[in-house]
Amino acid sequence: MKLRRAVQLLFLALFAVLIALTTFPLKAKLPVDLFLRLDPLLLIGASIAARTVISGLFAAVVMLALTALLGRFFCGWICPLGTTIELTDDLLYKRRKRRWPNAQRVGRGLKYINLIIILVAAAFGYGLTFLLDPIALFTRAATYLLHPAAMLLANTGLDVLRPVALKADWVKLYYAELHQPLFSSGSLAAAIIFITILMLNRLQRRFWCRSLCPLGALLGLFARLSPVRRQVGATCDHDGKCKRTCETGAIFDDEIQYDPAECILCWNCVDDCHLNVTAFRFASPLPQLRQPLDVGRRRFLVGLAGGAFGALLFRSNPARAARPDKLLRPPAALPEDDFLKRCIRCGQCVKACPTNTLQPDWGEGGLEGLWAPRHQMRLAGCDQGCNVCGQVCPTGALRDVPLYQKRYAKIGTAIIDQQRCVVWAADKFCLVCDEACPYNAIYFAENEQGKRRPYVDRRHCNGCGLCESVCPVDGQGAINVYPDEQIRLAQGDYADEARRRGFLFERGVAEDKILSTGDGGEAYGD
Amino acid sequence: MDVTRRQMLKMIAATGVVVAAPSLTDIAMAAADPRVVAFKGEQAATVRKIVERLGGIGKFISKGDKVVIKPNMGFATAPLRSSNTDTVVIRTLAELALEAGAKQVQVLDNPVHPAPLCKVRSGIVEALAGLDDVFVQWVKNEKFFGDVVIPNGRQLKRTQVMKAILECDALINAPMAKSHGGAIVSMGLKNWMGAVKNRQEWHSTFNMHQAIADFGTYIYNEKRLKFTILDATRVLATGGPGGPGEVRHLQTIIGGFDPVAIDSFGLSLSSWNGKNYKPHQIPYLKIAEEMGLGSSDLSNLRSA
Repeated sequence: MKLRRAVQLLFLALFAVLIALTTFPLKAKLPVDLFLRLDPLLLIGASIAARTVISGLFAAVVMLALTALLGRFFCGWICPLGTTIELTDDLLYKRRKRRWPNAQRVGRGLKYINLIIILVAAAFGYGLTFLLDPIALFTRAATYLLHPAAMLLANTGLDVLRPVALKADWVKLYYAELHQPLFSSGSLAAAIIFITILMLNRLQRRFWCRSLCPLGALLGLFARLSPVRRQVGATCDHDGKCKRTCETGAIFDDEIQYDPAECILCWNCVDDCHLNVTAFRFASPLPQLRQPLDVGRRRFLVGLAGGAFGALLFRSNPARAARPDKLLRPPAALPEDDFLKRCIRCGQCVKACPTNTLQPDWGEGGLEGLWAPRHQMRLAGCDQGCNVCGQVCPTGALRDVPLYQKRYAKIGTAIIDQQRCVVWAADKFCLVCDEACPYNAIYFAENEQGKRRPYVDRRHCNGCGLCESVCPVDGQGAINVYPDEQIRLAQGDYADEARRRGFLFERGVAEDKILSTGDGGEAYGD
Repeated sequence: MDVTRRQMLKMIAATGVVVAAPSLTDIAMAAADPRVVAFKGEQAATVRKIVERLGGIGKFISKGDKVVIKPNMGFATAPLRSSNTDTVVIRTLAELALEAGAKQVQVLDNPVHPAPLCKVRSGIVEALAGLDDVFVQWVKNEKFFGDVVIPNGRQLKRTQVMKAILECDALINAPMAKSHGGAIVSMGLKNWMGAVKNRQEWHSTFNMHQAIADFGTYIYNEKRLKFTILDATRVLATGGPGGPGEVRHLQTIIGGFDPVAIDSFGLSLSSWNGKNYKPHQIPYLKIAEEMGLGSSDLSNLRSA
């Protein structure tokens, strides 16, 4: 159906535009996390895990209500992953023989198992939702893989043009560069899941949507209530075309009956009906509510056990008790336990981060911290004029606090390794960390031998990591940020808390290293 | 001739000064071949006056030349904080290059602070606005740097220098005078640290003072390097290189060809972090003089 494809492309384009706009400074009029905010599975999963209703996602109840009214239209018309699956299918698999015929019902119940696993794990206090929620995983693939790849392509193009620009004296083009994000190998795992989902079409068209998607399962449960019903006239000649072209194989063998929990309202059956006897009309949902769900007692128990086991597996993490040295969360991240329960690993903070210091965690925090944002200070420090990570977080795992508060949300403390520092160990003329520090927390003083040596004044260090990023020593820096004295608050004022503990991070000391106009468009200078 | 700082500043203010080569005792000859020229006054007029005394811009830049100006603009600080070369000085040099017929002028530095911040906060983009064919760039990516061998370097034997510098027809060194936590003072010789890609290794791998002098043996032997304009309009007497620190309004500009003499002259204009220094107390000046880059002897001081 042409109209449906147009609507799908429109939403896919909107999804891409919102990802592109997830950047610093944040200028978008729409919330850049719109699709995540409309995802009821994220709302339910993360809310149960965090034991509180996550207000940022509350709009998703609208999606549940609309699904109860209209059916799984989200899957067929809006879901950017669904659209991408269809487009990939048209491109790669349309003419190939599938593993199973379109109408064969294979593993339909798996998606309910996935849903139960997520809900049970959430009840055990672990937000496993991020792993298989289609919007979270697609956003993650876009932020961790597709966007960096697009930038690499564009920059390669610019490199090709560079010699031409040089010859033609187009100086601006010669120097043109796009910010190229670099990500740790965790992005590869996110990419593999995404690509696998696309390749599952080899089995059946939209195999992910039919058999695996937990959001599809949740919406399917509500779609059973919908009074919008497929009806077939008595003159149907049973040529079987609707059965073959249904996007999700929702039509039963008799071609009259269908499963409303599976139907995504693609209306292929309406378009392809050569007798024009198929239509969607209002009717009572009651008769079909009596149809059994694709989930029996055995599957329910599997889901239950899987959820409990999943929660145990992901939560049995020594990092909880023995925090790794370099596991630094973004400023204004909730206390670690709350943070991990809420974070849906969408990667929006990582995408928006202007310095690239935020990286998807891959191993540091154990399975539990998989893909959650962490600082890689050696790569880049945290810009002190930016608070975009909190602004784009859909779940409040990172608090959206004003710039001033963010500076007081102390990430950690920089500590000089005197064995590695070239001034301490080799008497070199280095002052690079001091040059970079935005709060003059690094100072030079004479040591016991009367030599000028760098020290950190912990009262003025908020752990921004600019020093670590510029330290000229090879390998690990000679000045490193550790989580010592980090300030993580579930609520309340960071500046008050920091001052109470004797910290002072005031610009004006060296505001030159603080970028621009994070909140309120303030511009400060001399 | 031994002069105090007070006398020197008075002289610059009254008539400007010239430092001639030690053998040139005749005032007329000294004026014709100055190692250092210094004047006090409004920046644009003073830069023009100095370039005239150095031989006129037409002596250095021909029609159709590609010109690179290398100021010290590595800090994302507002102009009055004085961690960067004065914006009027930079603009005047660009204007002079255009007047001499330059096809294109690039104003370049490899900054200490992030490039986007320097662009927003240094005021240099605004200062150069309206000058066609003048481009200001903060350059960090290694694709814009090319390999250079330094045969006379003692420690720094090879490095990567901005390709635009390697390929230009005329290069102008446009540093400012400021205190420096690692090098004591930063002026003309130290300014070249912002022309190379790997500035970190000057701190970590080499003796920085030796590396500064080593690079000098390369760049001051390049024919395309035409002259130095050392900006002492507002010197950052303490807290350098980034500041904030004490800003002294000397309103003085120094020009010339001899890197050791220029920096020695600049050194004499102020105390630095509260101490007074002689040229031989600045290790890189001492090494540079030993390596034959120039002379710190300022005894042939004349009224200009």
